[in-house]
Amino acid sequence: MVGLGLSYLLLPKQRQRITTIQRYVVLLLVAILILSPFLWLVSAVFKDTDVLMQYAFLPPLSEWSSETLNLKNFYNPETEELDSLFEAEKTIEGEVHFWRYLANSLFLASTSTIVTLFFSSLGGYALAKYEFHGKYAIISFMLGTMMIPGLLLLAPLYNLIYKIGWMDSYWALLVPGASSAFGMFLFRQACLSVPNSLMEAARIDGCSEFSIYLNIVMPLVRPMTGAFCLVSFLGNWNSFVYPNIYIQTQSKLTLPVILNQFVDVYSQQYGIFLAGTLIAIIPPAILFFALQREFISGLTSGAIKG
Amino acid sequence: MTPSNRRAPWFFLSPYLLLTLIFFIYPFLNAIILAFHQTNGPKSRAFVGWRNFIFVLSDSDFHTAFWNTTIYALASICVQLPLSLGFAMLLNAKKDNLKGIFRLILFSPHLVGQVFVGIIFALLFMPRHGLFNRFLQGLIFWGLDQEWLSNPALVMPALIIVSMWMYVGFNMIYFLAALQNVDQELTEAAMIDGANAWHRFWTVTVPAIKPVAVFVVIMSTIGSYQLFEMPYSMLRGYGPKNAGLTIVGYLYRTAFETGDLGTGAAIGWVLALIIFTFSMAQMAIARGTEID
Amino acid sequence: MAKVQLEGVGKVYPGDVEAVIDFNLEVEDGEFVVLVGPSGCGKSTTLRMIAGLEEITTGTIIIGDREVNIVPPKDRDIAMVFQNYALYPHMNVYDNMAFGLKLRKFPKLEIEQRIQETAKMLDLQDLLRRKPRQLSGGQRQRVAVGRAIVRQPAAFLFDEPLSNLDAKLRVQMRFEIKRLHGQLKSTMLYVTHDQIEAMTMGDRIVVMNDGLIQQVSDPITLYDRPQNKFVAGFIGMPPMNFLSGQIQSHGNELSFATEEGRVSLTIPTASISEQLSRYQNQNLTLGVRPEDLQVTATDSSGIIGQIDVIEPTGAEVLLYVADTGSQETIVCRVDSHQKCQVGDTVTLTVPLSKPDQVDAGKLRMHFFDDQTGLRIN
Repeated sequence: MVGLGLSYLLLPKQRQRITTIQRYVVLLLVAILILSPFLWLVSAVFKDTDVLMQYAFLPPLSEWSSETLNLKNFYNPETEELDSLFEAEKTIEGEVHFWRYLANSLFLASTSTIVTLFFSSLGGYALAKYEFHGKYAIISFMLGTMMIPGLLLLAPLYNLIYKIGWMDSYWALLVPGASSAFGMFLFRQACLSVPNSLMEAARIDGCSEFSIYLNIVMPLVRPMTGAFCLVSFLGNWNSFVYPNIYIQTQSKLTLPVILNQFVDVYSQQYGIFLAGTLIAIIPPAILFFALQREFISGLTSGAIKG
Repeated sequence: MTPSNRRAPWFFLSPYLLLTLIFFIYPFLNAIILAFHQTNGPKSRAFVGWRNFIFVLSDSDFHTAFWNTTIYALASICVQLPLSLGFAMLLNAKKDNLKGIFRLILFSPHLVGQVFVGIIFALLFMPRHGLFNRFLQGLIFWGLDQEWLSNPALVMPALIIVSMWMYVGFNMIYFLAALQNVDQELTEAAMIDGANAWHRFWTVTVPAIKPVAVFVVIMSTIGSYQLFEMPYSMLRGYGPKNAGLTIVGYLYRTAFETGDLGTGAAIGWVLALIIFTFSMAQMAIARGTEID
Repeated sequence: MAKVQLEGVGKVYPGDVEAVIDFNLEVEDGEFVVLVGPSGCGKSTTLRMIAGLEEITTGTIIIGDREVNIVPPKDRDIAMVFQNYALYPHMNVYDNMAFGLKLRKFPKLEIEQRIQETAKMLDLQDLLRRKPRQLSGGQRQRVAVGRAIVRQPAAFLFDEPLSNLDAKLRVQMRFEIKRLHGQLKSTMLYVTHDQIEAMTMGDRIVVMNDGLIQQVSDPITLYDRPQNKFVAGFIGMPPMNFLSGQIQSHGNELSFATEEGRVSLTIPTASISEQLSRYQNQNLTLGVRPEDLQVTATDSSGIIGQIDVIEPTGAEVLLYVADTGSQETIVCRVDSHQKCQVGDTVTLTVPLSKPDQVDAGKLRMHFFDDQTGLRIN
């Protein structure tokens, strides 16, 4: 009710008394509120630990010096150990560099995205463009599994991974989610709009069924591909629970897990783990800016259509 | 359909079917069995009947977790979603070159993983120096010394604030897409019929965005009940007096910190039941209030 | 280039829906055959079975000398043009045309050569780098035709290729496809629901209804001697008029009269056959094309009625006459200079041509058996 009242006040076209200027003022304030944690984060990592909490964002220009603003959070040549992000951690397995975790996360998130994209789009395509016995049973089953929270299976899945012998292995992170019901649903929706005659023309032109998928259908559902890649990458990149319970070896850990540990390790040296956090946000941000057009249309198409 | 076309879909679906069989159906069946066993790590187990469920349902920590999560879910639906709708309406102007950039900005928090959000906001909520308290001080001259994350009464509000930051823009995108699909002719027809703005909002806009609204409410509920990583990382655990303990947090703690996978599976079932009940109830309400 | 033969071909869809029943046809090498019929008559299904896009339930399809019942579409050596063009939206015109050749591993040079040649033939040279969405409907259809031509297939299959075009373009493309057939001299099977398209384009026309072939013949025979009531009613615009009645003999003249005796038409000698005389005093159906009726003075015997609607089409005028007795509408096509007004009472008769006239042999009246619907010869 509160919200509806608010929405009423904000109705743009219907209520003439909200002018464009007023609209922009509200939106600008909201944008600043939303962006301020990012601005804070970016300024925090360049501030010296001593002054980090002294200023809300960056110190005033008159205070700028290498004492207040520097790169010591990333790299600090003056001290011996555990004083900057890029310094190798000494663990029982030997030295592990921060780059290692970044590489792990990049490898896992991109491999997982590509594999899931392939299996999900292939399955969604099959469910959209072919008629066969059991098709509707599979679709209902698929939609049913989407209703079940994945965490219900956390304990038995852990048991299964243990039995297979995938503890501490990347297989445990890559295989179980390699075909996503949600992804198949999205791709089915997208493939439904590809005309059958296009596939028939391709069949006559000499395509195999797989090459129809690869050469005709996939290029036509590119917006969905973009959206799904981003969703899948974000999910894998930010995943915490699974790597945290499956992976024990320090050098195999991913960014969310290691940064969660860094908060305890570096405790008061906020700048160091904030620097790591900032780096961890950058790859998804780059992908988002590259794919944002596809993303918005792909994300909402499922909800709007059905 | 020619013979080769008949085999092809099964071939294309085989990865999904195989993976689902092993990593969904099997664990799913196992979740039933596991919930009735006492376990100690993945290796040993003994049948205990309903005792896991009885333990969970009578455990005061579970009650805490349930109420915490429910309050969080209610806040998401009653405060955050209307805000999302409001912002969507603000953005839904006919010609607006800045629409794209605002949409991008409002959405951007969604890119940050919950663990990272937790790390950042743990510092933003610090008393005296934290950005949030400085902001409150500047705005209403209050709150500079509030200990958001160590005062049990303030933990939930803090979580809700963070959740607004994370999801307002995300949900707004759905509302915005729905608003852009509202039939302009209908609005104009209503205008000609003499409906005022309030009327038009109820008779044209609300029915048009209702399917999406129902979708967003259900997705938010499901998402809210699975909250875990953000509070876990922000509170370095479950907060003072379990004030930040969520149902999934309770599951995680029981199954992986205590090593009781059987009870963990039981909690999973209780959680699934809660989510199922709420989604069904919401769908029923949505159908019950059908306008036409 | 090759013959296409269909022997006893049938298609049953799940749920025992018979789409095509016992279809027999032999398309000669280089022949242009049109399959025409109302929607749902099985003509598209037949074409798709030839293409291999639908499995056949019974019978045999032979392309060239090869039975292709279970041969996949790509190995049947046919090319197909679809109603909605089915151009690959993400490829430009050149790539659309080259796609099938590339898949068949043709050398680059030959692909280039064939496309240039075809583009020239279809006037597509300037469009080769464009994407389909940058083309007009007519251009898209030309590309679709071009994509078929570059393949140099044994047979071309057209599935209602002109239905999505506007009336003017349709007439132009009709002409272009026919001319193309003249140049290429290849076997073409063409499906349409438009009987004018069928009449103007086909060497032979196959009329289908309810999954069954109604008649196979050249356009003129089809028009002049429709084998049954369905074909008679389907071919010709406006359609043939039908009247139920009986044959009566008056001395050495036969005449047709409706039951109540209101209408009485003398039958021209050309339309009288031995078989017809056996139908005397039995119920049958008379069919008369609108152009075979003439307006005469009210006092003669014929169909008496009032003019309901007048539709001038330019060269001629269509009169919709309501039969005074039954109120059924009879359509009559007359010269545009005929003087008449809505509300006039007129009498329609079938002219009796004298034996020495050019059109003496023309069948102006068609008779159909009431039970079977078949033509009475």
